[in-house]
Amino acid sequence: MRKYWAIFKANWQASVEYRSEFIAHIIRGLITFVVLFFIFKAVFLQTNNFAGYTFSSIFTYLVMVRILHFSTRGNTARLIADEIRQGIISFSFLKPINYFKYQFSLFLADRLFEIFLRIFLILLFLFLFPSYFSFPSLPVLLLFFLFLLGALVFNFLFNLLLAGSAFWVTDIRLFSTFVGLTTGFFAGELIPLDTLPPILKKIGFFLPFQYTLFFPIKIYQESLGYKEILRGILVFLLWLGLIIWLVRFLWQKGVKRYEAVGQ
Amino acid sequence: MKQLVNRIKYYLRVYFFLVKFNVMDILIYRANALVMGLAPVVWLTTMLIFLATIFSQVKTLGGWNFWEIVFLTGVHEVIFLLTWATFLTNLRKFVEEIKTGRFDQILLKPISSRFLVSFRNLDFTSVGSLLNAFFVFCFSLGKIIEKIDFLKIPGFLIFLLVAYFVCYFIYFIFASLSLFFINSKTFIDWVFDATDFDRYPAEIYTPSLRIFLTFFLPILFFAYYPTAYLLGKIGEEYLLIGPFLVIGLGLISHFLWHFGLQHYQSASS
Repeated sequence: MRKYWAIFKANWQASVEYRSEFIAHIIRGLITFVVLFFIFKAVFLQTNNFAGYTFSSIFTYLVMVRILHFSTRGNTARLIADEIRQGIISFSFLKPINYFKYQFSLFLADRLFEIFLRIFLILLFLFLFPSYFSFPSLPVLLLFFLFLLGALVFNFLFNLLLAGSAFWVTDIRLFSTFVGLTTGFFAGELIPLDTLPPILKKIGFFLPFQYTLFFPIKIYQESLGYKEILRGILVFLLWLGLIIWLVRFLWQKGVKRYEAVGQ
Repeated sequence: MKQLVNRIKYYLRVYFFLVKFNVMDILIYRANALVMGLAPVVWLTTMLIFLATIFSQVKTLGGWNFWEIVFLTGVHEVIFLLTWATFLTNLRKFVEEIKTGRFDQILLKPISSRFLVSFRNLDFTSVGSLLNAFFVFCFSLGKIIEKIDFLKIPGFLIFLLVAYFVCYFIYFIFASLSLFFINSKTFIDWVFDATDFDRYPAEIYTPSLRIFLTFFLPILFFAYYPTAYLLGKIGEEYLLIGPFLVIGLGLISHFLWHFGLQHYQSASS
């Protein structure tokens, strides 16, 4: 475990070193937020209710999307795929470490720094818009954070799944952007899933991506009952199990196929 | 005059050669190019779903109806993809080259370095999505055709030309900052994201923000003003602002580029 802790620490230091890039990234996210804020402000000039949302609840939703963006983001897939493409992954296979644990340490260090920055954002929004943005009760907050942890694990596994496809295709950048846009949409990044047209709502509620954004935010907003939360947790765990199996299956097949091109 | 014509001919010849080279390059990786072009298609689809969801609850947004905003999206996408294909990827590459010091190689070439930095590659991966955006443009145009005054079409085309130049100069100015700050990619990314403001009717923004997005960071000229002009939502006076803006931004970009080159310290040396 000590070696993974060392990897985590080294990458944490690297993340802190490039903090300006993180801050720049957050500002980018804020631009999108401001545009959406104006859109919904214009919408709520005409109506008091947007598919069950008040202006305050949609505002909280949008703020939370920007804050939780880190749970859907990550370039682990691209980095691993590059290693596979260039044959560099061979070196990692030769080292006395578990490659997945090694990557998870890197991933966690990278995400944690962003979490801290985004907690700062929450505090900023609480200070600036106290009437629109509110804190839930402590048990709900704990459940919310627990779900976030699950969302991070799911995100990491999904990245591994995408990266594993690099054993078959040369360059996964081609469809990782494509997949990223689709998963982001079905996570509820642009608009809450329950406001979508019926057919898309059904697809969105079936896919697991809702558990990385939409579902945790609904928990935060205290708009889900205990039964719904419990069912959500069970379905999410099933999806996690399925994705773990898929990752293992794909990587086992992939590693057998791997030819260490260029090495 | 003859000298100028010869110079233009020379640059057109060079550009034609670069285009030919890029076509050959893209044909090697045909499948890659095709899938790469899919991402903007997905993006545009999600955008239209978003708009449809909004308009399932309200009739207008800032006084614009659904098809008018879809048309605005179409105009925005056409302009965006044209700029992406012709210079945006090049300028992003330029910023990277400043960081690594590879920009020195461009400076040594016997051609305008500004031309090379801006137009050396034509990104054909966006051609597929350009067709898609053009379809959205034409389809929504069909839905709002009765609102269009055909006498405004020449003005609309001038606006589109202005949009392309404004877009080029803005991105070039921000890319040139890398000559001073080494890494100006962040600035380019900010402008890139700020173009989101131009996807929706400016009537939804506060007056001060509208002034900022018209005169200080004239992003609204990318698609909002051309579309609003065609739909008769703004007066003729905006048509006059455009050329002045192009000249002003052109001058700023010219001075910034030359001033930047004088201060450029190669990262490799």
